Amino acid sequence: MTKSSCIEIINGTFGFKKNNNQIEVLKKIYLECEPGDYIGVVGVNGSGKSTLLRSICGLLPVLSGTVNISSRSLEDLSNLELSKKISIVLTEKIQGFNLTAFDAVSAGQFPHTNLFNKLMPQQLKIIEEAINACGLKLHRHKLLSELSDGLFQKTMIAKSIAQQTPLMLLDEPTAFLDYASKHELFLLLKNVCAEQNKCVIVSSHDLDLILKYCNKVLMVKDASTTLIPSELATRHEIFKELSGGYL
Amino acid sequence: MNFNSNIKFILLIFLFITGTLCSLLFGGSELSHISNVDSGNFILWQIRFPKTITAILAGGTLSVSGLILQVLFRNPLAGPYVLGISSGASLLVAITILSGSGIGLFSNYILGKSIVVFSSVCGSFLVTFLILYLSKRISSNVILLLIGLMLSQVCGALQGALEYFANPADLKSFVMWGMGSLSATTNADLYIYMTVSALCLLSLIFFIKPLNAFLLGQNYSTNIGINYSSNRFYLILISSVLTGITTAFCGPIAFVGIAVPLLSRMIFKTSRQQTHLLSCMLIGSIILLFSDVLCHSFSQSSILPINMITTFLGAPLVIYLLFKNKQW
Amino acid sequence: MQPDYQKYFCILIVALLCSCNQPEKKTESKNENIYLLSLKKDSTLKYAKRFSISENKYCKLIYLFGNSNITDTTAIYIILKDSTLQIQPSHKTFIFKSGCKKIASLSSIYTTMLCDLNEIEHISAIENIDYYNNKSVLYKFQKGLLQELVKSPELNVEKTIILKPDIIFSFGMGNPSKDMNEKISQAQIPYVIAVDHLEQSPLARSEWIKFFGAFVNKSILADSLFNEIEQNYLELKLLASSAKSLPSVFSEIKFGEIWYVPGGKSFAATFYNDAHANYIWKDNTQTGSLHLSFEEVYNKAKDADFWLNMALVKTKKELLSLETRYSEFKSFQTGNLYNNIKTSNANGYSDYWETGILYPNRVLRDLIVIFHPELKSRLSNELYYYKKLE
Repeated sequence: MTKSSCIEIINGTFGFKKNNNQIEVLKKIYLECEPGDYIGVVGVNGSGKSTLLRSICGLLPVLSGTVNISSRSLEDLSNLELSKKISIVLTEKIQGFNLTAFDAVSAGQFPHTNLFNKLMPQQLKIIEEAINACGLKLHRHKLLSELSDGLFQKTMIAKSIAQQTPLMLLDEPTAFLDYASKHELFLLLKNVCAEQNKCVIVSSHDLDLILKYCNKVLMVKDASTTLIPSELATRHEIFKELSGGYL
Repeated sequence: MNFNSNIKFILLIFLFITGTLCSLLFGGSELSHISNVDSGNFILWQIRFPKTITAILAGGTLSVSGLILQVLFRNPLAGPYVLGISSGASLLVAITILSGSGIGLFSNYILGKSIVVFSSVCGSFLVTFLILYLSKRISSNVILLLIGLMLSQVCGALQGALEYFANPADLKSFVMWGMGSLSATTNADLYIYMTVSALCLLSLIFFIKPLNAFLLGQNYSTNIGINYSSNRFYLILISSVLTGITTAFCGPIAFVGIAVPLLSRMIFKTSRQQTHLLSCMLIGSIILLFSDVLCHSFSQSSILPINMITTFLGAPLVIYLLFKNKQW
Repeated sequence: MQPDYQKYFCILIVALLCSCNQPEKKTESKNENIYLLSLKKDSTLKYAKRFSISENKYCKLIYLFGNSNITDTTAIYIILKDSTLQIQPSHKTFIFKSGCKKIASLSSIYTTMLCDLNEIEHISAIENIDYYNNKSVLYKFQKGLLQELVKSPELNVEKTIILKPDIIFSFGMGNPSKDMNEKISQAQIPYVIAVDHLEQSPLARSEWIKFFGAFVNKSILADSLFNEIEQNYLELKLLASSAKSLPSVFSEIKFGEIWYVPGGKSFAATFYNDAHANYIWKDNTQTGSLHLSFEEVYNKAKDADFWLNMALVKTKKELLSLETRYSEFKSFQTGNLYNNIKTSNANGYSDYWETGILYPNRVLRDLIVIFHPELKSRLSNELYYYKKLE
């Protein structure tokens, strides 16, 4: 175990608990990620991509095994501590209650604000930077309901950047985007990953984009995962199967 | 808070003070008829003062309770009355009043009052949890409201059945209570009412952050460091105490809880719940104060029930706001 | 964000709610007993069971029995003869000074009794003028000398306090501390709760005039008025018992799905019995009303000779418009339909409910005229309260 690893999963089993029954989606998972890793998660629908991401950030329970985040066990971390280590972007749409793009991005600084959610100049600067990095400057005062899907997705990524965590998880951020936006988004994440030395894990069905931008590919198949460098991925047996032979 | 919202707050505070004075000036009689100083003093301090304070407290507590519920359910149509929470409180109060006097629960004034308060809080707590449990299984806002409606119908029916078997003495006091009134509280009641609501409202300082986070939904608020389930429990508890205590002292009051947070979001175009908490207290109080004035000003000698006024003001307001702003 | 703070705050609130449950100390005054000991005499109440009057040289004591258990004293009204005497009131005892100059009477029944005790000049407030047929009350109201205190469902507390009456007469369920708005007792306005409606016989209810007589210091007048009423009533009853026929009778109409009929031991049933009629539910033992369905009533009463008291209905047509199946009753076909609405004001309130309680003799006379035409020769023909539906 290297000291610098962001995530370390040892023999992890992930899934759901429903009425005292455990539904195991992923079994015997071993995974280690380091800062600077830009990992694309691929797998067919229902293979467990979301389950993996949600389990890592504590939204789903770890059924067995160990998950270490920055060398500390996930179970020992409080919500607040975890929020300073992992940020997540989900597929769910948020709107209403006068929420603007700026409000959503500033939520990234929540773990660092006081009782009244007062934003200090320092924090405002971080938020501004995140907004600019994602190209949201002109849309910052729009209501979330007025944003297009692409802009909304960018807003949530900006929130994730503003959260300033060493680890960023993104669950299918490109799902509803057009081709150009998808490229833009993957590039944006690549830059963030490289410049700030973060570990970014993004799940997507866009295999070609993942191969182009990510430096590692995590394949999810038959309740288990395989991590391979992307340059080797095209030659990998499973990868061919996963892509249905289309690549 | 910027310059613009400061002006709005100053305006609200001005309206609040005007409302307070008007509510003190309007009552069941005309000021010019008061000839003797003693009865004038009594009317001011024992009748109008508790009534005005009750209007302020009831408006503030119900609106804030409505605001909490709307954020919790992420549903702008939630409110203690429409979700059947007030009816749940009524039902439990009905059970205690109508069955309790038989075993001598109400021989002691303070004890009797606190039992009513306690059962009212329990009632609203139970219904809120039931609704919350059901809301996890459905996604539609409208269906949630329909379930709330059904729940309040069920509570109403059970209450009707209880009333059918109750003895007339208990029934009369209960029916009076059920009509909703701001003038039933005495200065002695105000001690309990004021302390509990003030404590609840003050404790919300610790929940500004969770409330703001809850706007983003369960997953995102967990991800930004909020313990979702424990915060949700405390917020439901506070909201139930707020609804429960007001229902115990004033009876079920309609539409304030749903309309005021909507109005507040309309006036202050911000998502910051600290602003809305403050403005809901003010707007809720203002609305009940002026409703109370209206109650007394249509006819000189007869007093209209407060629920009639709040429904007349609240229901069209909710419909208008929903039409105007389809996307909340 | 410290989640612990929240926990403490919530615990504090719960603790506060619980701490409200601290029982309060009971305060009982002892000195009232001094006056209760030396009673001079028990009054001569013949029929009324819900109150009793006794007297000593300091005060009059009126005991109220408002519970379902008739022996439970629910209140003691003490009327002081000497206004210099001081007695501490307790939760069951209420102290009054003798002689009232400003009376608020919150029931038209009590107003009638007070008027007939010549106290009209001292009445300064009533509940609502809409209920009244009494000429002198209407006149006084038009002059602006009477206030209305119960315009909405609840008593207008502020108006009452500004008026500051010497005494308020109101009906209640029998527990005076619960039956009156607590702000009235806080304002130290003396009030009296009467429970005449719990009495079961017409004469008992009429005898409540002695109750009011005691408060306004007109006991002798009240006694003589009642004796007159009683004597007349008993004569009429005797006359009725001489009748040869025993017509069957039922009453009321249905409201919604329920037909509320008087129980066999109720006030109304006593009237029918005394008028020598066969009340359909006379074997029933209830004192209140029975909640019956149309079917049950039809089954028992379809062949009854007389049908009385159809709420506010004025004509046969109107009755039929409420329910076409009413025509199936024999009494409807024979036209023996009588309602107590002969004298009623513009709002539909009948004099029957205003004065009929004090003067059961008038009601009884009407009933005898209706039931027993063969006795008509010995009574004047005119009906006082009742009217035949055409």
